[in-house]
Amino acid sequence: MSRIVKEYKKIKKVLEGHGEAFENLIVQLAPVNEYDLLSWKATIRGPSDTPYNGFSIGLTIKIPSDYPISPPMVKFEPYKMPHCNVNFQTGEICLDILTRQHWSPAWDLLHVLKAIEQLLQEPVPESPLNVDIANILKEGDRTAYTGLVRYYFCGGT
Amino acid sequence: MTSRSDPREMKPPDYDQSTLLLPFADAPSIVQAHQKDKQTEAILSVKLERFFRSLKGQLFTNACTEEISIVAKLMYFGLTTLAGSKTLGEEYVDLVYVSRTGKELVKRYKKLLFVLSYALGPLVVSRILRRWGSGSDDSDSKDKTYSYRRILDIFLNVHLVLFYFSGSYYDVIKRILGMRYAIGHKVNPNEAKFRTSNSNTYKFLGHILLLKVASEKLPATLQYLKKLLVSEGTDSANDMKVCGGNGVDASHYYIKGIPDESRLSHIDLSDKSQLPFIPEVSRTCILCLNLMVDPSCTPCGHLFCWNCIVSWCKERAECPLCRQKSHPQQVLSIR
Repeated sequence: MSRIVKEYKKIKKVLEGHGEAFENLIVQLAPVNEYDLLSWKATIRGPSDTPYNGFSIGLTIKIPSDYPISPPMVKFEPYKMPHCNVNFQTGEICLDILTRQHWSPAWDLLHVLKAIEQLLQEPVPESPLNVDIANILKEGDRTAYTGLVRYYFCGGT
Repeated sequence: MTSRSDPREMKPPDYDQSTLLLPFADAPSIVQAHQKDKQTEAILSVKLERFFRSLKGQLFTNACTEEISIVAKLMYFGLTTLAGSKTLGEEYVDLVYVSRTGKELVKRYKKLLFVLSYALGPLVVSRILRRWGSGSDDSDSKDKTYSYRRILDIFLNVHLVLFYFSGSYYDVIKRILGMRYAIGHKVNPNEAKFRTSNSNTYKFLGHILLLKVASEKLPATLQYLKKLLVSEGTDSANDMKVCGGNGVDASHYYIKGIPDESRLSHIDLSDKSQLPFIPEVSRTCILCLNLMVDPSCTPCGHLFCWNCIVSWCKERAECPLCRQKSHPQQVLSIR
């Protein structure tokens, strides 16, 4: 359990400006409550060159008690996330490194956020959780994709 | 090997005249003959192996090396000793087989027995010892086999010492069958002097060997016998102690479970004097992010704390850093 405490210290240090690599990505990454490091909140910037550019996206992270043996559970919450690999209703993310079969304890929360950023940049319509957006992507209809994402972020449900 | 020497020609027909008897061979020439024979035997064995390899393939020769060497021995001694001629080694130093007293030649059946037991003896003995070892797997019988082997070992050593002193029988089998070597020609005084001086060197060797055997085996044997007597005196209750015996108390060789946490000595890398060859940047465990405690290494060479990596490898048997296969039992603690 001391691992997450260490990680918290490291994340604090990184976010205070020592880690430029995350400046463009992370707005906020902190436990919901200082006394309970098992429940985290994160806000990331939508990466440039994607329809998400310019939006802030919220995530919740649940740390399992046997972390880092088990992977953290990450969801897009509290807002709905239009992305072909994210369940629109629950916010569940289809990302291999977050599954038990592919997770490595050598990774930390910063790696996880980096991987999510990459998922936003490179959606995988071949294994979709959101079939509608996957179909649009498969058609290669970039305009529809951008329009749909913007619609949801700027006042859709 | 081919020149068929008939010792009868050299032997005087009149047995009463002891001066005409062939003199017994000395230790150095026996050893020399023996070495030469071993060498020839090895050459024959290699040739035979090559022959079988071309005939039946590599697998066969690999599986039957023991048998092939037996065939080589049987061939070599069957064609020489048994057929009545000398082996290359005997010819080299001119030795003849004579009986224990030196007054008769060695009979054919003895030669046959010698060839058979020389070729098959080691195999049979090792098979018997193995069967005793595996017959029942309680530690008591295993211990007995071990002691049989020890006795055999001591016996062979004593035999060798005797040979160095008396220069009579180099092989145990020959001692049992009474096959002595005699020199196949008349020895003039000059040669005799040379031979005795050589034998004296061997006696010196014998002293050294005796000292070695005595110092090695005596204390352990005495202790073993003492323990054996003690166990017979008391009951079979402390049988366990006896089989732990053989001179040393073997009880601490057995692993008796995981030692108590308080008795473990951990290597904590926060102490800079511990394993100083690990550089500063590599002293942190990527799993717990602390300085490593009991640094341990996966087969791929990555370092982690023992507890961290073992608990991970139980979950999934791969290195967290490079995903190479790493079963928990492959993780090595670095000391």
